[in-house]
Amino acid sequence: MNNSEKPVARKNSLVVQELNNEVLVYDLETNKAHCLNESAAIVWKHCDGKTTISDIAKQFINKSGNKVDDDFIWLAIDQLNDLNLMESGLKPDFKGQSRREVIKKIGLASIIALPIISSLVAPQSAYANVSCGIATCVVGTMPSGCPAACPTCAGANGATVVCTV
Amino acid sequence: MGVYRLGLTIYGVKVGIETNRKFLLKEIESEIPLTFPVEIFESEYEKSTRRFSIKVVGKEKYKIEIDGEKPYIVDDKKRYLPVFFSYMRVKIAEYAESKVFIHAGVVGWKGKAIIIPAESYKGKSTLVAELVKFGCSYYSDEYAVLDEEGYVHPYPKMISIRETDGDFTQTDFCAKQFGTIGAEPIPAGLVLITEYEKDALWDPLQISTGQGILEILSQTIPIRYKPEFTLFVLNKSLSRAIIAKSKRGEALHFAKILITYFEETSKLNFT
Repeated sequence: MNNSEKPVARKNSLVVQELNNEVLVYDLETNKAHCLNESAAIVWKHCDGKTTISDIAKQFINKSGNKVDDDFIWLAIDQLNDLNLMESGLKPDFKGQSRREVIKKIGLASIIALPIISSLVAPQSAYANVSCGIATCVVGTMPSGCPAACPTCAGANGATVVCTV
Repeated sequence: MGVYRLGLTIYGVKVGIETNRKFLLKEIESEIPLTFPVEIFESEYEKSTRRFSIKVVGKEKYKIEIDGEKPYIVDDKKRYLPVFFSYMRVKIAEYAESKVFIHAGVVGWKGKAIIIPAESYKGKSTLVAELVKFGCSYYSDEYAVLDEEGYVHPYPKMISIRETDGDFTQTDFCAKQFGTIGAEPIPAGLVLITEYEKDALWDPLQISTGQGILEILSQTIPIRYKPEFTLFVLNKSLSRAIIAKSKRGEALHFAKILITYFEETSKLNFT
């Protein structure tokens, strides 16, 4: 781990929607949506390839008014990396500690929320959630476990609806 | 036998419908205003960008094709139209111009929309019907239709309530028999992330706009087709609303609990 490294946030093929205290990122390559909480969002925005980890920590303090150390920044970058939201795969070394141990340590010492990113894959097709309630129906398939009279994709109500191909 | 065609513009989508029987086209024409409760314009079939076809292909066999995708055979003369319109609604919801469709029940309460996103068979229509009986205005039991400003538009099709005996039989009710129907676009006031569970206690947790958007994304029809516009609209709409998450009990008792919660939380949040 090198705190003089200058991480770069990924910009390509992403749709970014700024919210009040969060950032929503939609990955056009994977159709995954990510919600960055305020802490994760501040770190991600400062990953411009010019700012070192230590400087991001300083800017974080300026922006939020809360004291954080470099491990806090690495914790955010570690998650951003895992979700493919960074250009370069920087690998933090938490000095022999696991991510969980670092979270516990930082969590106890911080009054600001830990960087958290929640993710979800967008439905495969527009039909994905027009469901029979037994299984998720996708166009072109008869879900396994559905009875013969499955009302596939809402509306069939007892008719057999099968794909002919 | 022959080819019978119809061209329409619905929510800005140029729709072409083709059948091989005159009676089928007539049935579709008479059903369309009930399925799409908005202003519909005639247009040219040849200029349509979304094509729907339903054809008789055997004794009580109907072949449905949408946009050249894999065809479906429906072998029930009572069900071919509901199946056809079910697919057509989703397709129009996906490609609608300047609108974002969310699979949700919607009612209005004192000028604000209560949006209840959920997939089918989760009791959405039953809850909507109970809320309308309680005094809310009916907006939709299928889609929350959001415009560019995040306002919720009425989509007042018949309320479709399914029997609970497991055969999924669906009965359509005119919303007017339960109460009033909303006419104007209104801002979102409450987004309710909920699911029915027998004897569940209402224990709402307020969540952030971002978390709320993630929660409803799986019900947001055009997210893959137009993600940028969709996220923009969802932010506009949900950033004004309370977003609450909790399991719920029976719709009959829950309507009053929900409205009380909405009124009390609105006072706390916006005064």
